[in-house]
Amino acid sequence: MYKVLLVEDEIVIRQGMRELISRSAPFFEVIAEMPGGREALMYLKSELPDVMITDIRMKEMDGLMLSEKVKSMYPGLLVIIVSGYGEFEYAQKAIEYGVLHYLLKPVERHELVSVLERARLLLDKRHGISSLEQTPGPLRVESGGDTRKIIRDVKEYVRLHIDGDLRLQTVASHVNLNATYLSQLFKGELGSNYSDYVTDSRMERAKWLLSHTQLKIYDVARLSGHQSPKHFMLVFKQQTGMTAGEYRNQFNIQE
Amino acid sequence: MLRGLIVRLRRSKMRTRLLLLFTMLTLLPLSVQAMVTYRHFSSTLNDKTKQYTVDIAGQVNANLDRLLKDLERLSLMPLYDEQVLSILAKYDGPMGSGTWALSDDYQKMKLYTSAQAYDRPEIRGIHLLSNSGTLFSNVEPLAVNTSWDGSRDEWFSALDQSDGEWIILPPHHPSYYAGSDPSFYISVARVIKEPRTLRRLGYMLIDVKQGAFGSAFSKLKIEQSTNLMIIDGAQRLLYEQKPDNGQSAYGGLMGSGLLKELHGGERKRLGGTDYLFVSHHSPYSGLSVIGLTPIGAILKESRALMVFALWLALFCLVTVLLLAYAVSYRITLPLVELKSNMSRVERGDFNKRVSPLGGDEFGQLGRGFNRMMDEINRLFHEVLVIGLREKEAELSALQSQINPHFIYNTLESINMMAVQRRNDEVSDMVSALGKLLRYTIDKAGRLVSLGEEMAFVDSYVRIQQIRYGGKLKVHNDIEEEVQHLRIPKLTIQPLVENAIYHGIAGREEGGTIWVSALRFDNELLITVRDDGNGLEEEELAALNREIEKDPSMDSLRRSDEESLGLRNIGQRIKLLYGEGGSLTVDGSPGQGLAVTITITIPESGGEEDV
Repeated sequence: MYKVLLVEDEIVIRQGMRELISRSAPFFEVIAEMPGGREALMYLKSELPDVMITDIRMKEMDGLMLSEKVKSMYPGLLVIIVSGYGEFEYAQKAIEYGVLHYLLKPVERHELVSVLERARLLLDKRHGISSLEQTPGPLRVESGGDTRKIIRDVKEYVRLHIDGDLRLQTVASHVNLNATYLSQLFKGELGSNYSDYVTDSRMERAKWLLSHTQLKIYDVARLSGHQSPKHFMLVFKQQTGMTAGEYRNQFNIQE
Repeated sequence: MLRGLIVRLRRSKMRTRLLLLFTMLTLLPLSVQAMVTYRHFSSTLNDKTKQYTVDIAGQVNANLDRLLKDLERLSLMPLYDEQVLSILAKYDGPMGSGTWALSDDYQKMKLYTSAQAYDRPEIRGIHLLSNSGTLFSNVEPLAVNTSWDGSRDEWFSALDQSDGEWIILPPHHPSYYAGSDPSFYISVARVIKEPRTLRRLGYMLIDVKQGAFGSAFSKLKIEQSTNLMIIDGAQRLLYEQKPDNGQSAYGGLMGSGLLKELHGGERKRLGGTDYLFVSHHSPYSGLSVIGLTPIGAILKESRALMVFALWLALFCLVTVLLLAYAVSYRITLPLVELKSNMSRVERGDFNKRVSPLGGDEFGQLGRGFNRMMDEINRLFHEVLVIGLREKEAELSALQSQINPHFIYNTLESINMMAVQRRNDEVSDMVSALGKLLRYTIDKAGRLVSLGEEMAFVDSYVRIQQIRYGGKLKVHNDIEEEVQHLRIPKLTIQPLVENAIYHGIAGREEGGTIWVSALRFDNELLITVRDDGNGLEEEELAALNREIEKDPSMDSLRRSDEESLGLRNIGQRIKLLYGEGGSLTVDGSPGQGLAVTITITIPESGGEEDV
């Protein structure tokens, strides 16, 4: 599930948008709604969604300014603007800030859906998932199905839910398999424990977040699926031989 | 200063410049001519006066000569009278020793002198004086002394010293007159000698009244202020004809010592006044007649002329100014009118025209102006009509001018509310309506691609279909190659609207509309056809006539008409494409109506804005 941040000052529109996304775009989930640019920016200090849908005309900070700030904070964040303003100057600015799409109000449903579909393709590519074989809805495994496909599905699930519940039981029920069987299958196929794989994946995510974002350490810990920041820092030191701060500084110096 | 004047002249109005020019052109030669005339006239007058005074002086001298000749002859008479000579000889002796003469002698002499003086009123008395001083006279014995001593009077010595020739004695007061006769007399006198022995016998004295000299002037017309004098060879004054003011010029003339050096025809300054000096000398009598005329008096006439000329000049100036004003007003009138019309144009009034036009340059200018105004007016109306029509089309889509963003946001709210309540039809309708509004309000360009217009038509049809349920069917048949061609915005949609309202609305069974666009040679044909009731032939003809009408303000006002939509589009196309565009209506009763727009595709392919 890709995470969507909704920024819109009208509650009716926010609610409708959430409904529309949950109904028509199964790979997306609205994780937060913000009534204005300032609040959105506050939120983005500690959270990292995949897509931001924002209005332009809002109190205090408008959508264009927000897009500009976000672009420097997280260049990878996809921004979709939904606005009543069709003026050329706005569209021009939006292009300048690398906005993914500029939708005009009132939004036609299928238009929004097709834009989100495009966003999904981009995100999939970024995460190394081949979109063509993806099918909406919970993963289904045919009886006596291919072991490799199961392993790939599990890996994708881990990647997409890195900060969520990745207990073996949860994953196993997701792919409709017995937990013990899955564990054996995983070890047989990759030669390592499922839990080790998750730990490695989480560490990779943490490293990526440290190097690509300005998120605080404990946010990095949370977003990479570590229960407590303390635990995260301990594990990180053990793994890399340096603290998370030191690791990040490395990249700052390089830049 | 001159430069400043020129600069000011350059800045001044055309009318003022013309006025000045005319005035200068007229007044310059006029004043030169007046000056020359005045000069010439006054110098002629001067000469005339001089000549006239010289003539008068000559005349006076001639008169005097005649008088004096007469008197000279008179003074000779005793020489031819033996009796007189003998009587005079009887009373010989030293001067002053004379006694009473014999009564007989006295009587004889009295008779003689009286005869000589007969009928000569100018003569006071004729006297014969013996050497001893015995005086014989024609004058009454009581009024004159019978014996007189010549040495008592100063003037007598001049006579005494003369040698028989006649002499003139200037005004003097002879003492032989008895009583107190105060008068001065001028005398012609002669020493009488015995013709044979040349022995001095006595004197002949003819006393003439001063008035007699004056009579020499009497019949002559003399300038009133002229001073005329008669002087003898020794510059003694014999007579002076004084001017009206009674001033004597002789004293001044003598005092200044000018008398000797003066020649005729000179101007002299005397006692603060300029005089024209004229003299005439008589060689016979040795007398000179001198005329002194004040220059002022001579110039009085020319001065009068000058005053007259000045008045004339003033009159001319006023006349010329009036004329010049009238002429420059007349000449600049078309210019001024043109200017005022221009300033009206600047204020936005394009209806003003320049009235009566001549064939001159101003006329051509005015005609040019009128042509220009016609053109401007035409263009202005064209722009106005197009603008109004577009506005009208937009307003018919959106009656009120509420802030469009507010409307879009509101529509979005409705849209999302519908989504939340899973009412997809409302969501579709609202988003189609939004697109409709956006197209009519936002797209500023006059020309859009046919594809864009068709997308708009689709939005419109979607809404109408929801309204009419399944009763409205629309089929599009748009050739791929015409999708990009540019057409005026809001041309197809009103046709579809027209087809829905006049062809399908109100029909129970609903209807179908076919929209087609295709290229035929170099023409784009857009047809909107319905399967409605159609029109009768006459109605159709009337409708086509109405569409054919030239665009005008008039047709804009009658905006409530049924056929407005079609006429509106037809006229817009005609305004934009001229002969290259048309709108025709075709069909027959029961067969529905087909409206066709024909647009000639430009060489470039129609992708550029026309």
